[in-house]
Amino acid sequence: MFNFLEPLRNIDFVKRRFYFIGLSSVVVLIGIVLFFVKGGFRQSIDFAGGTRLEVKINDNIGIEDVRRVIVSTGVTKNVTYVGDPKDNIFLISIGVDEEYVHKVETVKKALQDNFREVIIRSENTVGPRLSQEFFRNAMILSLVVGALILIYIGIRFDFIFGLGAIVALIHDLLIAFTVILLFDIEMDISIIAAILTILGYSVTDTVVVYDRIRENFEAVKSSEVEYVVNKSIRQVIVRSVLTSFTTLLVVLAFIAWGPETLKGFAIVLLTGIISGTYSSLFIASPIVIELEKQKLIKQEQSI
Amino acid sequence: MDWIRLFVIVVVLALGVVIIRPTYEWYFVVPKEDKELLSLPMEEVSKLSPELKKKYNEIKKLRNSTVLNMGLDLRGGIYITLEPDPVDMTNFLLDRFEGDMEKVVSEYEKELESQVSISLEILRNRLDQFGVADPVIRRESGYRISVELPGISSIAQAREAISKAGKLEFKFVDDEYMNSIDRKYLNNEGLISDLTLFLKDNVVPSDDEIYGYYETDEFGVPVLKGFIILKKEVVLDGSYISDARVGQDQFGRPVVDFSLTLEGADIFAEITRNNVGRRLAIVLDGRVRSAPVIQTEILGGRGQITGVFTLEEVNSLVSVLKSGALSVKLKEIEIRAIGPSLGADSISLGTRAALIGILLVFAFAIFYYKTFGFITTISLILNLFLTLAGLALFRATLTLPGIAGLALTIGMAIDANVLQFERIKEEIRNGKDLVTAMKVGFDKAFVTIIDTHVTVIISSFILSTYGYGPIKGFGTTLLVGIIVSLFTSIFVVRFLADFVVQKLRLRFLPALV
Repeated sequence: MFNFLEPLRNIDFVKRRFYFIGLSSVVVLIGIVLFFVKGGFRQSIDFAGGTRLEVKINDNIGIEDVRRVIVSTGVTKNVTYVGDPKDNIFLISIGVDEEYVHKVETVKKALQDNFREVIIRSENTVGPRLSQEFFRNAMILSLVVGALILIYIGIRFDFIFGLGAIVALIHDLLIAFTVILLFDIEMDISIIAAILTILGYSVTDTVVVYDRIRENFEAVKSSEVEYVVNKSIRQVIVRSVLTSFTTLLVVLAFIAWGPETLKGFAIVLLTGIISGTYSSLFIASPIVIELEKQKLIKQEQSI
Repeated sequence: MDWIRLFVIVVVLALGVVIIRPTYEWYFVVPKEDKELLSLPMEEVSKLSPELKKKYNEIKKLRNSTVLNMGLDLRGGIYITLEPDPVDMTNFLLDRFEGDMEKVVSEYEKELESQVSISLEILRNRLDQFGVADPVIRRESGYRISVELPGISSIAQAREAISKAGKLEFKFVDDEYMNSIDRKYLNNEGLISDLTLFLKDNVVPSDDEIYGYYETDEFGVPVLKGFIILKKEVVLDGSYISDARVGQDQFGRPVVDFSLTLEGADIFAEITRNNVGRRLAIVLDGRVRSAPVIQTEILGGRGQITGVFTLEEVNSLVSVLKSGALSVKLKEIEIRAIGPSLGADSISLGTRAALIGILLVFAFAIFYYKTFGFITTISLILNLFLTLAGLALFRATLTLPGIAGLALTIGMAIDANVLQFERIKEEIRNGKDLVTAMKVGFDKAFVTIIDTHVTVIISSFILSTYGYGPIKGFGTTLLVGIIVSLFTSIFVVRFLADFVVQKLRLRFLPALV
């Protein structure tokens, strides 16, 4: 018998639940502070609208030289490195207005006049109108997905469980947003896709734990609730750790070897997987304890 | 029970092979120069030698079957979103309803709808002539059209290709000359089949012109049927058409009903009165789209085009006629140029990362679950294969977030197996023997697997149906992947595990622990 995860089953999780809730609160608090310090998220052109030029310059120059040339055109100051600074790949962002087509051409021309070898790797332009709609689309999708999942859990389990799942879900989203702020990840379409995945992943994990609790809850007394929930967590924890570990393997491969464009996406997913597993065990379950206890005590008194 | 499982697995896999074959052929068998045939403008295609033409048709057929598309972020190109310009639209309707603002407001949505379908027709026609390898033109939510032009890198070039308005003209067919042509140059539709051969032996009258005759195929793409000789003179142009609709004749067959402006009605009455029995060709952007025979004099500016039409052809012809009345500009909402170099390194890096991730998962599964871990690995490989087949079946486009979604699906598919195996271990700990533990464990895990999969199916379905762009691609991949994962964990894994334990009677290998 070779099982290095078994010791996990001997921990009394329920007794320590306030530590877990405290830990999460601290992380979320850091996120809120960061949000106000940074003045919100860094938005990509998907939301803000604008043009992004990704150029590779094969001359022996640094970012300062490129910035000087760009500033002299009077169009924009926004130049950053993409990936490894040694590669000399730059990202130039240009805001959108009536004149933007002309502006983009100006910038391209200035680069080509000043440097010997300029390769335009990609050019993305989004009108600001689409961006607002895009954001709306993403928000509405999140709400609809959340509501439908709530309804499903409400039907399959119990209203109380639905509440617990939603709290865990909001917890996971807040943690994800904190990490986005912490790593200064630019909000773009792929990040929205990652956040939507977290929605699904978080609920999946919570459902697995709840399934166990429901199974063990047959003919339970109010005094046994804590014991039963603890038992359920102990039964499920090995599965939860294993599954997140395998999914993490894939995401870690993307962080280590994947394309630059998906780095942010992978980091946000990584967060979602860890916090999704954690919250299903240590946030969603305790909530059920408190509420189920109240319910059972009421029932027992009315008999 | 077991044999039923095996039968279902075999049938599903066979279907998967059939569906994935065109994708395999397109990416790994068809040589590059053959694919380039598809990017030739229609006029060039008609000049090809017979064997090349045959090849062209074969490749076109293959391309339109279940080939998994690569998204623009993987192969580079231009992405454009368009919609009818609201200001232009309002002015156009004000003109049409003679300044009656209330009517403009009440009819606006309906008119917008028809403008979009006309624009689709015109864009298809244009891009086909422009010669883009395989443009993807889609109707999006709202009143939007998205156009993907793979392999083009210049935004200016793309704008030029889509911005021109369609030109609709009516010209007489030179029936007299067409009837005098030797049958050997004509195909069974009465059109000139091989232009080069024909011109070698014949001289076209000086006041005539040669035109290609096109019909819309089932994919909404105009296809060259042959050539026809028209009189040069333009007898009527599109600006006299006020409306066109799909109607029915007395036998319930679809026909095209059209109406003309007041001025157009007079001109048309005169033309039809003097030319009963002649064919009048409808020419859009220099291509003949239909050449109906004038049956009777048409008075009152309302005509009908009958003939043996499929509904697709009728719809397409209605759009063609309406395009004559089209004066609404398309407004560009979004245009993105995506450099193929970015696509090239992204695709190789993304694929490599996905492969490494999946291999790590395999290694871990075998290390932790022994023989059953090996079974999991087999089922995950089948899972990947079936997911790709499912995506090809839905004509989905594989994007970068899509590839990530694919890898993620593998991670989540293993979850179902973990649930099953942990349950079985638990039953063994409770003192059951392996066979009984497996039965109880699989059954108990089944309920949980259904619950978890349904939640993901709900969310990925919403994303794939209502999401924009990359969100949609991600959602579609996830949805297909999760349905496949449900199948592999419930059918494949259970069958293989039962088979290994009961039929092979593992004596020397550890089954699970």
